[in-house]
Amino acid sequence: MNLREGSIGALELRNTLAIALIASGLFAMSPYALYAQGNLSYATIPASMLVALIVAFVASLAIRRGCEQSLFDMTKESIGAFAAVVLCVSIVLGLVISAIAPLIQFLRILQHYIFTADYFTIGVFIAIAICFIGVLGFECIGRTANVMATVLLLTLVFILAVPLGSYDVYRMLPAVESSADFAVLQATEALPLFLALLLLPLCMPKAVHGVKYARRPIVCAGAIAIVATFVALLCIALVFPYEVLRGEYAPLFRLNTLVEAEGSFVRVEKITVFLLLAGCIIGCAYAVYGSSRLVAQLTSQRDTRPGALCIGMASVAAACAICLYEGRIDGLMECLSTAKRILGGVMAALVIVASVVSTIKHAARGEKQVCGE
Amino acid sequence: MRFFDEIVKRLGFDRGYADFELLETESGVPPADTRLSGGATPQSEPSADITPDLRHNRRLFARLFHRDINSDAIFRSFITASGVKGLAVYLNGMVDADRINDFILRPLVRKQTVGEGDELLREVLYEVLEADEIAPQKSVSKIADAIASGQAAVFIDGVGSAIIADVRGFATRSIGEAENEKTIMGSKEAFTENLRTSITQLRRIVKSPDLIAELRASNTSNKGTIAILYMAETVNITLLENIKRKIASIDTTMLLDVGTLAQLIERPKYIPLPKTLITEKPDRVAAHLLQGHIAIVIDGSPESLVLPATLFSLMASADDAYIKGPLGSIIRLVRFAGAAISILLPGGFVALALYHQGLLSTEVLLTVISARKMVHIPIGFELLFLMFVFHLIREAGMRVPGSIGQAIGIIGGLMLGQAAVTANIVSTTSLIVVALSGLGNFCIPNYQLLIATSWLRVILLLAGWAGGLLGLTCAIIVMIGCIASMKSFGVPYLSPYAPTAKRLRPAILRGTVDNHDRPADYMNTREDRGV
Amino acid sequence: MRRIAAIVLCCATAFAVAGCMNPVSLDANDYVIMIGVDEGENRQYCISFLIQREGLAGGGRTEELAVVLAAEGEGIYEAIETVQAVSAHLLSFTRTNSIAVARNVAEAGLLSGFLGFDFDALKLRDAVDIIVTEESAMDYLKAVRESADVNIAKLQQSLIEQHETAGTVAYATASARFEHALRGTGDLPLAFAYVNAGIASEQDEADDETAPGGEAAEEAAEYAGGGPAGGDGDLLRGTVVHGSSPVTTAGAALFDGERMTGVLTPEETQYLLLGSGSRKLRRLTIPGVGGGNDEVEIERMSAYGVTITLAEAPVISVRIALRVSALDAAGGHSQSTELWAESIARELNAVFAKAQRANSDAFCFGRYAVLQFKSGDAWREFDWKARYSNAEVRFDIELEVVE
Repeated sequence: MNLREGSIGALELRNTLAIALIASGLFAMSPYALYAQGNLSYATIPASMLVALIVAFVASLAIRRGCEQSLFDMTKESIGAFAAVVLCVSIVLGLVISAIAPLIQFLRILQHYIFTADYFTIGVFIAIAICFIGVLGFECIGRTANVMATVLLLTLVFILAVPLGSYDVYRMLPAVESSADFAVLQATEALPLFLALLLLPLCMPKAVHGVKYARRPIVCAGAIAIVATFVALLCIALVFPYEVLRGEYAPLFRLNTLVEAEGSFVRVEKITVFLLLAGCIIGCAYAVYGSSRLVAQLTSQRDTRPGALCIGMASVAAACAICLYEGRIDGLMECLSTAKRILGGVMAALVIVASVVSTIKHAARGEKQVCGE
Repeated sequence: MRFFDEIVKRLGFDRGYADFELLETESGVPPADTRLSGGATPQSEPSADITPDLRHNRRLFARLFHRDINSDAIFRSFITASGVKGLAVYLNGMVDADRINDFILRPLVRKQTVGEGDELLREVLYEVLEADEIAPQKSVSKIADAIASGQAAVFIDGVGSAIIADVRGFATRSIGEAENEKTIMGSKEAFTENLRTSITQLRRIVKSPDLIAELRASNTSNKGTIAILYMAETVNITLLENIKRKIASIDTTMLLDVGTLAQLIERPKYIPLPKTLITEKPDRVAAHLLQGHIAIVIDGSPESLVLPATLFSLMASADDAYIKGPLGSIIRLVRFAGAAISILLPGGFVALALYHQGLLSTEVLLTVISARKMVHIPIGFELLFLMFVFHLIREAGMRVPGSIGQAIGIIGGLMLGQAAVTANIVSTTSLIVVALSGLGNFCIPNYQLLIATSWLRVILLLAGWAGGLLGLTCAIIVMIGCIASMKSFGVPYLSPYAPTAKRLRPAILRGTVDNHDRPADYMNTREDRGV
Repeated sequence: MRRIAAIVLCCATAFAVAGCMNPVSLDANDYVIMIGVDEGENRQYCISFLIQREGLAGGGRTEELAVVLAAEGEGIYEAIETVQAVSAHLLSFTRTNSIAVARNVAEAGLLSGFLGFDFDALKLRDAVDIIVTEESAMDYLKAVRESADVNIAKLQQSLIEQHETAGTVAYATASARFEHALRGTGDLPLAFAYVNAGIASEQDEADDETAPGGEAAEEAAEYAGGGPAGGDGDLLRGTVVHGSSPVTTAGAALFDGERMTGVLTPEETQYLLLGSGSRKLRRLTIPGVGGGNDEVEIERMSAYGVTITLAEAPVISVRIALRVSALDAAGGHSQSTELWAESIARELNAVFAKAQRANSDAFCFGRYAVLQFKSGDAWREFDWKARYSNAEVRFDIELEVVE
């Protein structure tokens, strides 16, 4: 076993990435945004994840082919330093959004269903956990993910298995209110979150023992997340029609509402909220640490901890503020949605162009180099 | 700016990055291996040697050992058969008088010698003295240390070296049964305070020339002897040198027990969870040595320090390996379940009672309400009070001699608990919760880990009280994160699960014993590295 | 250590600034087990709350441990405020299992108005059962309170399980009802319940006020012979029962949108559940030619399929395949599979006709009709409920009788 300092292994990377992706996939968008015009989330979200995975895979191939150290080196070498900086900034923004978005949903769930307390009061607890784990570093996040991965998977299976008798296909149809145009917009809105999470290991190769060893965990994590997200969203669609879903806060935790009131497993849904919250905290900590590390790289700082602390606190504060002021500021959510789409487009375009240009350059040179490591 | 600088300084952000590396990397070369005859070189003292003048040496050591007031120091003068004057210096009670008489003094006064100076020394060493372990020594401090440790120093007029003879014969406790680590199967022997006996016990189990016992004196006022034991062909050299470096850097008043040593070499110091395994059973130490661990024994301490130690090795018991795999797995599962119940139950109960009543079934809810009808103190205080009383009873039971200790348990547990319920100070459900939690705590075989977890549950109780299941979840995540980031001398604390190792031992489930068992790969032994 | 102290201080400050999580000790709450809704005299509703305060170890009577509190209001919040003003504790709805609605409230179409409050704000589960009571809901709650069972929640659970298996009552949760109402895919029937007013209770027997053959028994027999108010059938078939639960749930209340428009008997409810495709149904009473009934046990519903041909008068074809075994074959004919299938189809058609007369899509065939539409707009434009009254149904029953 390689105990190289500050690095995590393939299994830890896979678990961390899978947890972060599933948390983003299931909780990144509000139920109203997902279901206002119908329910195709079981197709759009996994499809968006698949597109992000393909982009990340293509980038990893290009990095490997060009024997580059990281995604930024490849981008810098193929389309210039400025593009690399823009890509770095967009990934940082994507990570920050992927940290904030699930937090918003969980804050709403906790404040609405469980506690009679303010958003900020609830946010303090979450902030402490995220900042603590994020500051402790990548090893800590990876190992915590390793410990929690099985528990979280079992929790998800449990949530989906208890209401087994309630699933019915008729609730899925009709799938749309009037037309399916919203599906593309939905998919593009979710893209930057998944893309940033998947590209992060390619941006810090030392932490993952090199891009060569990061590719398989990225693909594995992506595949697991796509399957898990698809199954979970499909189960939601089998229990609630979209007309009901757009008024729900946490459909994933309400799947057994069609089961009779008393029963051994029926009231366990509230415990599953907290178990998945633990997964969300790990995902957020991963995004927070990753963004602070990229910022540190960009600004040539050696210590990532101040950045992790600041970004962690800011993310939770931003999530609380959005929960509080969302209904009071007209057009806030639409603005954020548009911004996310633009960000996702920029990120994907830069990565694809850099990968293609890098591949063409090396092919044009006729190089067939073996990367020494 | 000054305020900002102060914040940065207090949070430690101004310190070098390397200071926060999770692996303890230290610069410097560890001191060379030394045997007892050489001892650890004191880092600041220049070595002064004795002279060939017997009178000078007598005066020097009389002053060193305060002969005028210290009646323990024996200065036995003699004249050899060849007429050469000599002096034997030793401490009364520390040496075996018969061996001094039979193998040191009698040969010296009866056998003829012919040489002078170094030649005389050679004759005495190889032809006269009949003791088994003798060596020449010139350094005053080392001679004094040898005499203080129970050896005898023989000075001969005209010879510039003293002869140190190991004739120790002080009374020691005989090998007994382990009092604090009870096992059903396997050896019942425990270490004693005598270093030589402890090493002998290990050598009886590991009959291999590979087992190395490096002895060195500690850099403390009591000059205790520390033995570092390891398997030369298996151990990780980096780890070994790291340990030696840490031991060499110890500079404190006294070092009487391995527990003190553990505190001196562990980093960081404020984490309550132990990073080393302290055990009083030689078979357990031997098992770890064969796995590539390092054991440290201190003269005067009846336990051994084994490192590195992971959480799972601390949760393992000595006899886990002696029963079949599935049975051992069941026992371990029960143990881990007990530990989990111990930590989570009080906090979980208070969280459910204050914030999430809907999660309790109607029957439990109404029963708890009935039980708490006349209890006025809040549930959180109730549990804290009961946990404190539980610790009081345990502590009192430990300090009180044998038979009365049992009575303390009965008085405290039964009568006090029942009286508290009858007096409506606490409710029966809280009593049950704390009792179950305490019972689960006692499932933990390692004493330090037991104490640490008994206080971790207080933290979780406070977290559950403050924030319900949210507070509890966040506290658990923080705790798991802390534990996941801990390393015991370079080995991650949660190995082999986080990070996942190829060979998942020791772990929660005990695997089967087969013919191809190898040391755990997180030990990075020479075999793993292909050396 | 200084760094640790600084971190702890920051955390403590953050908690102090952020505020409290508002914990409430479990013994500071009154736990509402059931809610009752009646029509109010001065306000729109009279809402009653059945509160169980304690558990009693070693036996006892529920009425010593539970209490019914009621208040009038325009909605539930007003009632809660009034009740809490006179109660020492906060009302907690986390253990509420049922909402009992008086028949007159349901028939007046006030049910949806009452249920329009935010369940989450009260921490009330969406899975609460809604039942319609024959008389006053408050009387129903009081009767439950007077039951000999110290655990009201277990009593309710056992009622659900018992009647579900027998199929004599159609239980529905609030969320299921809401789903169908929102989508327009059916008018989910609700359980029907009543108080056994003439039935002797254990306490009465203990007090020796009644005895078989006494005055109370005569009254009970008279009551039992007459059936429940409304004359919808003899629910107890003329039997006299002593020592039973003071409440009974049997039958189903039919709804046309928000208004209650009819009641099904327990036997009709069995067929309603069968026709709806309920796989929990275990018993079926098949009317015989000679006037008796055959009791069969349904081992498995092998197939259930609904095909709807959309038109002004939709045609609904329902195929049901059952594997049954006879429990008691009386009624004047042998165990003829064809005759049983015919009887079942006949009963199903009768129940459908009754529901159609009440303008209630009690079988929720709308959930199969909706599958043929590509969008919600198209479905709403179709207006299934308007066409339902002209719908024709055909039940195709396949039986496999096992010994």
